[in-house]
Amino acid sequence: MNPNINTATATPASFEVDPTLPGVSFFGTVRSELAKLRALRTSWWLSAITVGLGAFIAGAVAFSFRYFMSNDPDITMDALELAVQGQAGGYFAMILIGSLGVVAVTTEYSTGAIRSSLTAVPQRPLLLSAKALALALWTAAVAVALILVSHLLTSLIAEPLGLADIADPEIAGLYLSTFASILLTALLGFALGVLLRSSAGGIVVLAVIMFVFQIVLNILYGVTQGAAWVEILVRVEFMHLVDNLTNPFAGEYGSVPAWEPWQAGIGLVIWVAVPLVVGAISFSRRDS
Amino acid sequence: MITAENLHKRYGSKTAVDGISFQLPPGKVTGFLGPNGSGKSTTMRMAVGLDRPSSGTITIDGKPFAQHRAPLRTVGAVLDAGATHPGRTGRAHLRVLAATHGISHRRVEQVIELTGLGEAARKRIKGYSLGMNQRLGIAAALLGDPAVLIFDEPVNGLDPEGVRWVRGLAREMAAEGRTVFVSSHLMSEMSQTADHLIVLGRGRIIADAPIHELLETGEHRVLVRTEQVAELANALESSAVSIEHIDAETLQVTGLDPRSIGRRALEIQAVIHELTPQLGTLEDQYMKLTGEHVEYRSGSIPEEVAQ
Repeated sequence: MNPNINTATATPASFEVDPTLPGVSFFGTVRSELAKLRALRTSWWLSAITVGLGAFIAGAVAFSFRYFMSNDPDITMDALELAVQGQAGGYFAMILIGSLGVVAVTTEYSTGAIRSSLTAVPQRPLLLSAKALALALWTAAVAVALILVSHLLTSLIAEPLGLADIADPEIAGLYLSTFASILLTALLGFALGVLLRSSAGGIVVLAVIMFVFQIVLNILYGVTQGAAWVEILVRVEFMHLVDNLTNPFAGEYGSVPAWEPWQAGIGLVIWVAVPLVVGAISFSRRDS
Repeated sequence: MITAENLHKRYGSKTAVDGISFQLPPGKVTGFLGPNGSGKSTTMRMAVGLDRPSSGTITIDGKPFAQHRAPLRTVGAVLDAGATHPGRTGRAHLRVLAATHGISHRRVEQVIELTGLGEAARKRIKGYSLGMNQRLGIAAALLGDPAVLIFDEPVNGLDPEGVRWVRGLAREMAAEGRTVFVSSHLMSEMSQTADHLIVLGRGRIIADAPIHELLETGEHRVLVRTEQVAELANALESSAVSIEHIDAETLQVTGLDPRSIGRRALEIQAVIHELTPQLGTLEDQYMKLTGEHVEYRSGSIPEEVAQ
């Protein structure tokens, strides 16, 4: 009698998963999430536009400065001031990479791919943190490219900024703060994506945070003739904090007192951490 | 082993799953049968942690799915053929999933081969037919060579060859000692695949039995052809027997076995030309079981349209 034939009295075969095979891992999941970002055309488009636009702005700023200098020798700017102007593309980078942060997560909901992701990695905090880290790594690469290209173009086109000035502690600090602002905005976009699960909703809210709050609060500040409570709101507004972090001259032209860069940095971290924590709690509890 | 204990799921005021308990042993294909909206997919989604039970538990080998060290090696699930990014290729989708568990590219190629995706694996998923999406879903489920397989309506969109392949796959996986849980609203599909059936209606279990038991409990009907239809019908009449006149010489008798009908015919000297047992079908049983539990019922076609 063939022992493989199932009979009523036969004990069914037992299938055991080999316990030595690897299980789900954080770094494996980060690799998986990076592969998703690489496969997303939006990632490449937004990143290319970010770097391209940054390069264009840096070049345009440097050429304008050189033109004005040649026409009016009284115009002066030191290397740090020029470097600040050359990094103006960072503001556009924030909205573009912030949008990528939104899309990186909402595209999974709009396509239904989140169900495949959660079936492979049902440990939701692990999946979410791997997604955030993958986005942070991608953003870091784009931000570094943007900053280096902007520095290269500004320093090659206009004086007194030199190529080697990147090692100057003040200029390096400026670049580091631009890098941190872009990274934090990407994570803010990511948090909004997790919370809202809608690309359009996430990008609109991000745009409101980045642009509308600033305009509305400045109007309110004027209307209330500088009321103390409005001043507090103006000072803790997202883009005000970004400006205080990334622009060493922010205190010279601002209508409200500027924070120290480290204080502005803490403020921005809070802006990102709150929606991220609320989003993470919601992501862990919600049906998918 | 999949175990559900007093599992409930409510969406607002609507109860999708209403206190079900079951245990699915390894080595068998368990069919999950029920009309649309009966709670099959919700139960399967809760099994893999996509939805959270409102109360009760559903575990895989004694633990919630999310607590397993290697989820892809524990459960392979096909819950939604469209759960993919349409811009990725089939191969990229599988590699993304494989990366989470350190599963090799060689295994990805194996499941592509096994599921017959072949050249389609190079194409973007947005160009896939429903059948190709189902095959991709099954390939993803098999990536980790898991001990438990959960397939929600796996034959939807498949061609006859694909349907036969899925049936064979389910049977083969169960024969290897895996737990195989397959849902369908098609009785014919279940009768050819499952060893055991759980029938669900409006979120409640209305039957949980081996498939042969469900068939045996069905009422047997007998087709009788005789020249003395009226006399035989009178002779067979009783409260336990129902008789349907099919045509001038044919009766369908429910509630009596062929032997008893033959004896009664002999007693009244009726000539019998045919005495054919009509075996109960799973479909009959299913309709009987779920009759009161169907949420969406078809209307009848108006006569003028029917004509």
